[in-house]
Amino acid sequence: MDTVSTGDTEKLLRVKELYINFYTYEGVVKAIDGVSFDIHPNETFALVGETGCGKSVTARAILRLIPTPPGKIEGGEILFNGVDLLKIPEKEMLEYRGKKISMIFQEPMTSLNPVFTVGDQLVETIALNQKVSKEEAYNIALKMLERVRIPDAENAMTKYPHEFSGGQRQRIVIAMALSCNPSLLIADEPTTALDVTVQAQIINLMNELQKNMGTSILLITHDLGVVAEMSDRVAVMYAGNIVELGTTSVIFEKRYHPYTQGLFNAIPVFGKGKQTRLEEIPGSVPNLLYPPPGCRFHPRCPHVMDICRKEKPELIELEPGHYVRCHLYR
Amino acid sequence: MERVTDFKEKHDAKIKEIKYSLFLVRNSPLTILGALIILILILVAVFAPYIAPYDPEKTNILARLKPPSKDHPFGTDDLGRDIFSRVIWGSRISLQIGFTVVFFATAIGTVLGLIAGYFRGWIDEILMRITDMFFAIPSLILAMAISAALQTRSIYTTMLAVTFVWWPAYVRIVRSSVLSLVESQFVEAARSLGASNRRIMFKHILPNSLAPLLVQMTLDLGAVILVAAGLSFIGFGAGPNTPEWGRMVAEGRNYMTTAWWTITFPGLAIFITVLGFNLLGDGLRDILDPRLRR
Repeated sequence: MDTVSTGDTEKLLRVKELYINFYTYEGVVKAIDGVSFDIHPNETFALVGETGCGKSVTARAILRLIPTPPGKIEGGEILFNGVDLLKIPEKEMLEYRGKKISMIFQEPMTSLNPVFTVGDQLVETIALNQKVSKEEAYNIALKMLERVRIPDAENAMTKYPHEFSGGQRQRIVIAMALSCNPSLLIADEPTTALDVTVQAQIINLMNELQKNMGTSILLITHDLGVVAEMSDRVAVMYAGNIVELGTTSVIFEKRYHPYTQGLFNAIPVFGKGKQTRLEEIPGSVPNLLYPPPGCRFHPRCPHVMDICRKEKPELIELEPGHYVRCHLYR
Repeated sequence: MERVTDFKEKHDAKIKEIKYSLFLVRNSPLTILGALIILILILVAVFAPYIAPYDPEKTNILARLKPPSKDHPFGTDDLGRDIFSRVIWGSRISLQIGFTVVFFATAIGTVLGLIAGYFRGWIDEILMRITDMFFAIPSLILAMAISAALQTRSIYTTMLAVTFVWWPAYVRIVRSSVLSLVESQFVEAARSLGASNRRIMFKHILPNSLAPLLVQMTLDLGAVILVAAGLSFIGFGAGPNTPEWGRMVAEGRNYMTTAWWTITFPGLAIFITVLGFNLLGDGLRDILDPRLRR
C-alpha cells in the first residue's frame, strides 16, 4: 500500500464529470451523474457500492461497451494517457480494448466461448492483439496459463471451458485479459461468483500479477472485504455519484459520508458478540428515473438537513487525497 | 508412433467429443438407417456411369413399356428408356439440386440472420419484414411463379427458383439464436478484448449457432428435393429427356394403369431419399441437443 499518491503523479486514467443516461420506455434513467476519479499507474482502485449504483456502467463506459441505445454517454471525458476515449472513432477503440485496457467479468462460467478450446481462444486473442505468429502466440498463451497457475498448462490448452471449475475458468479469463500486457485491467466483480476459498486464491493471484506486471486495476465490487485485500484507493458510489473517495486505509479507519458509515456498520464484525443486531441503512436505493433532488442520499440519511433537499453537494477535499460529497462538511 | 500418441494427447478433448457423438448415434438405429440411405445415395450418384447398365437418355421404341425383367430391372418407359438407369442418373440431379439450393439458401440466410440479430434496430426490421413477406406466400406457388417467369427450363432455373424461396427460413433460425448469443457474456468479453463486430459475428456467434442450422440443413435437403421434384412434375423443372425423378413420374402417369413401373420406381426413389434425409436430420437434432449432451 505504499504506492498511494496524493494527486500530482502522472495519471493513467482520468474520468471527468461523466454523465450517462439510459432512455427506457418508462423514462430517462440518470444512471451516472457526474462521476470523476483518477487511476494512477500501478495502483488498484476500487469502486464500491450497492447493486445498481452505477459501478459497472462506469466500468463499461471506459471501454465504450455501453449498449447504445438505450444507453447514452451525455457528457464528460475519459482520458486514457491523455487521449479522450469518448472522442475517438470506434475503429481506434479496438486498439485499446484488450491491448491497453482489458476487462474480466463476474461470471467465469460464461466468459469463455463454449465451442472452442481454451487454447484456441487464448491463441486467437493473442494473435489478434499482438500481431504475432500462431506459434509465438501459442508460447505466450502457455506462459500465461502457467503464470495463473493452471496445472498441466499444455494439456489445459486442448480442453474446453466446461472441463474446468469456476475458479480455474476465472484464472483462464485473467490469463486472457493480461496476455497482452494491458496497462489497465477492469475487474467487474471478479470474485462474486466464486466460493470463499477460491475467492482468496483469485485475489492473491491478482495482487501478485499486479505487482509483477505493473498493471493498474480498476476493481468493481460490493464486497468491502475484497476492497481491503486488494485496493490502494477506493471510491464509494451511491445512486450514480461518488460520495466518498480516499485511500483504503483511511476509509477503513474513519469515514465521513453518512452512506459510507452506514455501509460499514452493516458489516458483521467478528467477535463483536451475538446479541448486537446488524445496523441497516433505512429505506432503499432510489429509483433513478426520479432521483431525489439535491443530495441523492438525503431520503435515507440520518443527518439530513434542509440544504440536502435542495442542493447537490460538491466533492470536498477534507484531507489531502480524501474527498467527500456531503453538506455536513462544508 | 510417437507422433500418433502426440496427436492423441493434443486432441484428447476433441476425440472425446466425437466418441461421445458416435456413442449417441449408435444408440439411435433410425439415425444410422438415415445415414446409410444417404451414404448409398451419394455412392450411387458418384458411380452412376459404372452402375447404370444403359444410357439414361437413349430411346428404343421397340422396347417401350416393358415390365421389369432381367435386362431392365425397373422396366422401360414409353420411349423405351431403361428406368433403372434413369433412376440412378436421377440421383445425381436430385442431390445436385438439394445441395446447391441448401448451400446458397444457408449462405444467404446466415449472413442476413447474423446482421439482423447482431445489429438489430432498423436493419433488423427491414430484413425481417422482407422474410415475413416470403412466408406470407406459399413457397411452392412462388417457386412456380419464378420458374414460369424465367422462360427457360433447366435444373438450374429450378435451383434458382427454389433457392429464392428457401433462404428466409434460415434468416429466422440464425437470427433467433444470434439474439440470445449476443447477450451472452463471452461476446461481451470478446468485445472487451478488442474483437471487431465482424470477428464476433463469424468467430464467436456463428459457431455457437451451428447446431440448429445443421439440423435444418439436413431436413431441408429432403424437402428441397421434394419441392424440386414437384416442380418438375408439373412441368416447371428440368427439360425433356433429363432423367429427373419428378419428371419421370409426370411422364409415366399416362401409363400408370397399364405400366405401374413407370411411376413406382422414380416415386420410390424420391420417397426413400426424402426419408433418409429426414431420419438423419431428426437424429442429428437429438444428438446435437445440448440437454442430451452432459
